[in-house]
Amino acid sequence: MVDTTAVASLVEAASSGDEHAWNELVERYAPLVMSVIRRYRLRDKDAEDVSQTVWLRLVEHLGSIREPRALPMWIITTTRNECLRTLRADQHTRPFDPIDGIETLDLADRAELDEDLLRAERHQALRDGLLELPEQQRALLLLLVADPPVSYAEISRRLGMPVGSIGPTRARCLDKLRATPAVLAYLDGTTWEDTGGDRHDVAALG
Amino acid sequence: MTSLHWDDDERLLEELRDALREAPQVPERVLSAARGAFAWRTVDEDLELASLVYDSFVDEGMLVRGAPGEAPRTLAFSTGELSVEIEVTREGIIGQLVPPGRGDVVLVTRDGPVASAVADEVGCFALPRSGGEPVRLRCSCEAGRLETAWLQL
Repeated sequence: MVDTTAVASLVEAASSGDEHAWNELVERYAPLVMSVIRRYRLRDKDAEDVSQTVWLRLVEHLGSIREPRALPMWIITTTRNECLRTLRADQHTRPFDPIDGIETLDLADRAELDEDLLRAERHQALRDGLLELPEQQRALLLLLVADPPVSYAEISRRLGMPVGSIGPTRARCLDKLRATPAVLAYLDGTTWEDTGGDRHDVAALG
Repeated sequence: MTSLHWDDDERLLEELRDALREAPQVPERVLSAARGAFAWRTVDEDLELASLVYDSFVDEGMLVRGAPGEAPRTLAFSTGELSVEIEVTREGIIGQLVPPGRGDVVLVTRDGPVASAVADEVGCFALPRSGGEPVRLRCSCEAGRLETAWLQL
């Protein structure tokens, strides 16, 4: 059986032909791809083409991923590059519209984009970590951050847990979250190194 | 680095809340296309993947101000031994196999091959260009067979 909680085993299974594992990767990272694309404000058709290019790239890249934990960063970098290419191509086909596109971004905008991408990576690490927790712990954390908020009484009822133990359990679950492979990998900073693949222009945003 | 604050329970929960709120809903159409990408896993062992090693849109002053539309986009893909270099204009794709030599080149979309061309004795070929959808080239010549990374033109 494939351990569906760990990115590493999903990548390994998918690269040896397990379509179920691939679908899991898609479920997990499609929101990340979309959240990066959204920041470049592409038209719907372009956004879908970028998304599809990223997934096709990942299919061919599966076998050469050396550090699966760096996958979120690989996805962010690849998506960003494809967005930039699309914006650039757009300018070439519509040269009389100088207002549009990346070149109108001033330095502050670019810094903000960089900050956005870093936040996307950070948030993905937390979502991945959450998926790597046992069901009960994940359920508690999800209730604790629910929007609108859920009262301790309601949490106690839903999880069959005494109100008095929610606080201590919460602390334990957060410790577990900090110790998940996804969060540890992120804190390790491994994600900025060795993403393999399409990062030769990683400095494009300077 | 914001993550330094993750040792604080409240701040970690707060960021987890943001992380969940910010994950966009992905349209089913996009998800299903992404799942479908798996069908493109290369199973042909002889077909080597040529990765994108140069893209003038990215490698040459992506963010440099200047009149766009001046120079055509040039791209290079390589397997290490065999390369294909292309120039994309509004009219189409002009390319060359390196090392130069005769061969066959096919333009492939997700729907399969859409155009093909014969490379002449110096490896030159011409193909029409497609819309913004992802495409790749499949080349075979004496030096070997390759398939380029997917890319949008």
